[in-house]
Amino acid sequence: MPIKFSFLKLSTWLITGLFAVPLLVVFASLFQFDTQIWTHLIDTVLGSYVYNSLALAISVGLGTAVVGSYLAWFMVNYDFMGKSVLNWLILLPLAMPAYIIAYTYTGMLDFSGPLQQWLRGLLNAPMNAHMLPDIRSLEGAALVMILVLYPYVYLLARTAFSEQSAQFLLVSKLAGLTKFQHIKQVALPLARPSIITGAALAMMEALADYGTVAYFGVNTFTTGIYRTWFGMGNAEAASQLASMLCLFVFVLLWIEKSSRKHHSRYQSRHPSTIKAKTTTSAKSFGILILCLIPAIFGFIIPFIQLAWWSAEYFERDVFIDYLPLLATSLELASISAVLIVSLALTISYCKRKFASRKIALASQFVGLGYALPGVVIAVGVVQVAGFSDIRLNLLTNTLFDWQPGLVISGTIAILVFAYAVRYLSVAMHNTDTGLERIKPNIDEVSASLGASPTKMLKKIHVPLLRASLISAFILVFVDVLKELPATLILRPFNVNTLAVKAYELASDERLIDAALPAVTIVLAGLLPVIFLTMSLEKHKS
Amino acid sequence: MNTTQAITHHRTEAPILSIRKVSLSYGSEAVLNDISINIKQGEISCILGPSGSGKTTLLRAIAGFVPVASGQIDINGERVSDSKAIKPPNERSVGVVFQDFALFPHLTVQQNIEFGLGKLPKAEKHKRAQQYMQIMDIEPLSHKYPADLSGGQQQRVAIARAVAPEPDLLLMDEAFSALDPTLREKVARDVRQIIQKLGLTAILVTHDQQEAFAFADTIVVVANNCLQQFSSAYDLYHKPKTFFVAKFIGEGAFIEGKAFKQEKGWFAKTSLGTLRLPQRLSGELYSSDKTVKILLRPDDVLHDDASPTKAIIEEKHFRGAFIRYQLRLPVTNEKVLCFAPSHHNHAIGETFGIRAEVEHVICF
Repeated sequence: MPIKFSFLKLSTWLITGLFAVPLLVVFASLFQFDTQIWTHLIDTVLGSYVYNSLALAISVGLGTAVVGSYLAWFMVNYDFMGKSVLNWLILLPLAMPAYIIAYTYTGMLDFSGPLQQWLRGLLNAPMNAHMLPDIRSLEGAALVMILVLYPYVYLLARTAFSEQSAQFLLVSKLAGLTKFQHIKQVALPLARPSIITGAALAMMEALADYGTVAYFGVNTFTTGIYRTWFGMGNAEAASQLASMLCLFVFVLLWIEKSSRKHHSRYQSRHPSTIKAKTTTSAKSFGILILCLIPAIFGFIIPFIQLAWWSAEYFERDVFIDYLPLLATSLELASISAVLIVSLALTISYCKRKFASRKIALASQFVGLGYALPGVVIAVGVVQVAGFSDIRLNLLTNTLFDWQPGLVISGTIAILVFAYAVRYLSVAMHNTDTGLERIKPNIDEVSASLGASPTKMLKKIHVPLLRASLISAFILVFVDVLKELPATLILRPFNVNTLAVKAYELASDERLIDAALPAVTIVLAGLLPVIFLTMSLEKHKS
Repeated sequence: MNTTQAITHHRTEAPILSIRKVSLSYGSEAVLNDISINIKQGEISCILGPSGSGKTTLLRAIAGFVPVASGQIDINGERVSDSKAIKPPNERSVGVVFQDFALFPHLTVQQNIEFGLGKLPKAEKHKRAQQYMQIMDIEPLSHKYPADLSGGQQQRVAIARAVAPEPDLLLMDEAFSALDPTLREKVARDVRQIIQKLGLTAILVTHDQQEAFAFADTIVVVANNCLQQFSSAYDLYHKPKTFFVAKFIGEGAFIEGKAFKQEKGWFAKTSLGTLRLPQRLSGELYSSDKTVKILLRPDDVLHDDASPTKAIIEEKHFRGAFIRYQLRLPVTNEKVLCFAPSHHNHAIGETFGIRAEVEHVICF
């Protein structure tokens, strides 16, 4: 019997197999438990890593849950002036990477910054007086992360609140409940799975963050992994730390997944949706202010500050430094995005065509990359690349008495590979939903009408997929552009991206010079936010 | 025994719900005008009307969810709504079953029922919930969540939740429309039995007349912003007061006739012969040579090969024991419906003889 060969299946297995290697390397170090390393870690830094990481994640989780939920509640239940503008404003902080907002606020609130000087002048305080608590602290890190991560909760909670049957409120009224009691006993418990899902995502982002905590000097797992490996050259300890961080992430992933399951149970079958109601102008003004605050501090103020720094101190020299930076970043982001989207499309097609459980599981496993912090993936990728280089050199040495050196580590390719491991699931999410829309019977219809496979691809699949492919490309493009920790670790010498440069300049206290690359990243980050808002508006109408 | 009877008797005298000259509006748009209805203790009633007729708004006004523009609503002799004041829903002794049941998905069956019991002590709530779960035959489900129940079970829970606070009045908004159509009539009859057993007064809102007939003692027909008729199902079918009710309730077709007066009274000449006209309910008199519209139910038109009037078959629907024909009359081209015994099987386009045999002519 001839073996049926499918190029699609083969490439899918190759891609998923290759991408699984760095993930497996990191997970594997979980089981290579080394008592000596752990004794040392426990004696020295582990306590502060665990405490800081957990404290950060929990405060970000709670903070985003509170801010995201109250915004969602007001936006769903009330009509007030400026609501259509708020629809946009509330989501803008998504475009602001935490490390960028962190250094912007540092510049503004610093000891020598404009706010403290103004306060000293106002209160006639001596020149050496500290007028504000230091933002470069654990609390400060939590605060800036809440400011940019609350949209995760907001988006999910808004859907949850708007899906609640309007009749629930009537049932509460019949039982004599006040509005507050209704929120506490009905509306919030029903939205809880969504709020927890959003908060879990925000907490995963907080755990994955490297730029903010490194800049603020807060010792967490990510800074610890970086320092252990690149400062002390202890690869084993770094891997063990990375795998422990993975455990925390998995707990969050599990929480997120199980809350999603609850969410589907809580959806009503015959939704009679809530109509937003108008209120007195004083009340509606109050709601407007409350809903504006997160967007003002999460986007508007830092963005204006960044734009002002870039414009005010704009010089020819700065611009000349900036151009190659921009070129490298755009190049890297577009190459990665095209590659990642093509790989994702291949896997999605394979899943659609074969409906195989094994392939679905493999793609799910590779999708885990998105949940893992960039630092962790970098650690996995470096190990794989280093191991391959050593083996390759050994091989060529025995065969030809020649060593090519490090041909895999320290190349652009390895950086793109790391991006792909991390962001493949972002692209796959889009290609999957795009292909879901093209039902298999559409293929059958076009075949029955006599269309050739090429004609079908050109006339049916490409037009139907275009929107998903564009959104996959934009999301991956912007994610790569913003990526900091993996780039910092894996980039070849002399390769600088906007994110790396902004971070380095900020770390050197050259905040103003860092503004131009930073503002570029933020502007690029606005693209997916605009897409998201537009699709939400379309969904509503 | 005598006292109980006396009290019951006394209570049946005064209406439990009295709606007087009520007008309702949605924003600046009038939804219903000048509605007056009295519902007695233990009466099971139905508000029937096409979609958009304002029937749900009327129910919501009774429940206290929306205010009245003018007029008054009294429940159990107590003023609950007028143009100036509105008593909140929880203080007017009403229970409501909503269209999609509105069960809280995060609460168990028992918790859902206890939710409506307000400030009762916990043990009392528990006891009351148990009692009503028993009545509704859903005791085994007490710890399940709504997502795990079938549509029929969910409805029983929704009814239990509405009646557990022991309201004077049970209001049901399209309470059967979420159920499978084949189940509806049976469930409606079952629910009616339970309501009777509990001695409750109930009002159901529906757009489905079969459901209304199966469920209610009296039916309120609303359409075109006003009350069309408030009577029993029998009277709606046989003594419709308005042209709308005649058209809306049951099947039928209108043919035209010319009125003329004879010694015995008024008659109308139609394409199916001469029919005797009834005295109008409004007391209005007929005038000679004026055209009247006469309602012919499908059972008023008989298959009769001897009849000189031959009609052409336009549509036929086999219904088992009989066939429902839609026929076109010669000359006037008017359409009538006819239930013919099943063995009179004709093809579309053929003709057969018909005659009208109408016991009580309904005309407008």
